[in-house]
Amino acid sequence: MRFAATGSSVVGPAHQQDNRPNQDAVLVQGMRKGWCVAVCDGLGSRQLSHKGSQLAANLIRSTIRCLGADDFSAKAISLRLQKDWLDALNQCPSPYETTSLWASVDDYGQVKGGQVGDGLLLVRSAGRFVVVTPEHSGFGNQTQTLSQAKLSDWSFVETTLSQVGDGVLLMTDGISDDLIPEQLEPFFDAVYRQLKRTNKRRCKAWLNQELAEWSTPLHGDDKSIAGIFRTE
Amino acid sequence: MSKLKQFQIQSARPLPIIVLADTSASMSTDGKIEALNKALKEMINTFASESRLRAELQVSVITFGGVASVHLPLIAAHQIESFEPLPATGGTPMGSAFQLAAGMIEDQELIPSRAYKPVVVLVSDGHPTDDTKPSFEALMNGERSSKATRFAMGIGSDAELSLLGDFANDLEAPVFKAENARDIHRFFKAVTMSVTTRSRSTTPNQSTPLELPSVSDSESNDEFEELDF
Repeated sequence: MRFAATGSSVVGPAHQQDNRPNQDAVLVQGMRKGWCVAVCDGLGSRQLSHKGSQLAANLIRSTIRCLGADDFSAKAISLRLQKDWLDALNQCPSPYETTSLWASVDDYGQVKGGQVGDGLLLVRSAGRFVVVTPEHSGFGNQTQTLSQAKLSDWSFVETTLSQVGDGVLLMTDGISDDLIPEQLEPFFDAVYRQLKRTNKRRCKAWLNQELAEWSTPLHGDDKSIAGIFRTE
Repeated sequence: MSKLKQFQIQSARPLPIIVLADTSASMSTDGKIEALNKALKEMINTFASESRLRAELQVSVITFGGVASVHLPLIAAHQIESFEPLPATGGTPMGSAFQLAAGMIEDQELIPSRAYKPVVVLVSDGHPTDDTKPSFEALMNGERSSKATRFAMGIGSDAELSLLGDFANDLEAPVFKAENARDIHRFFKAVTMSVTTRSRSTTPNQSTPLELPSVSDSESNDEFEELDF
């Protein structure tokens, strides 16, 4: 059983144009017994959201390390992340608002993950592809945030990567809003195949290029993606 | 060659602008309907020619004069080849127009969830002649329609300002009162500015308040008659 992880984040054309920083943050981290990944999308309207998203990504790593993904549920890890993020900001999160999507896979292929806010959390387990993110009926860029989220605003996943080709893939809405809904599984496959035939570093370079050359007309958002796949 | 391009939507995110235009018979007096037609045409032309946008501006015009109907179905501004002038006739079935607008916004086939939140503009010079309550509440409280940005303009002294005031949800720009043709033009110029500012920004989903141009900035003096409504 072998797992590989990859991730990438690029500044969107709108922020390039305004000389603003990437408000997304991405985490791809090897852990003692597996991997954890995260993508967090700082709200464009908030001054320090790039720091808020980075803080959230960093805290996911420390929260999983502290609690131990083996012993705690996706829900417990998500709620602890939310609490730690708010505590780190002295309960004054307004300028730092961000979404948060995270996932971890241990060396037995046990997946845990959570999402609050926009973006997409995709999982394939035992060969079965599932969109964990609930369908949203509102409009683009209207999102729930890490600080405001109630328990019911979270989506959780706990499953097993039991087959080669299984995996978990996270992305911010700069990507997910521009994907053809019927093409999510082929998109998932394309990322998996690229990672399987290269390595983490080369796959990241490939993703960087793909995201930098995004083809949806007038797209502007920052774009971040991260995933863990079972490759053997 | 990109391997991921084939999974990407090849159309820009829409930003819908829905105009609810009173075309009742009273609009035919004092040059109101002519001013409205001219202002709408200019707004559409500006949207069509805008570059540097982060969204595709789409426009629909719903009229309510005698009956409520979709005069211009939701379409990208740059695809509008000509705008048929609105005639003014009949009563003021504003409630039916609210119903059409609510149905349009709730329709995810027409306005997908990747769209930026719509802008709804209500323009009227009189009192509704149908029951507005149920459709007004549907528009105000609908799952999607409640999120729209709403601007309102009352034309002349007979406009139902309290209803228009309840409709508008821009705290910095409550219902605008047009006293002459030039004011109609100023209002639509402000709507145009608000929308284009939004669509150029890094956060196109955030409403931009209406900022009315001063009378001297809005148009050359001989463009509109000074006749008050």
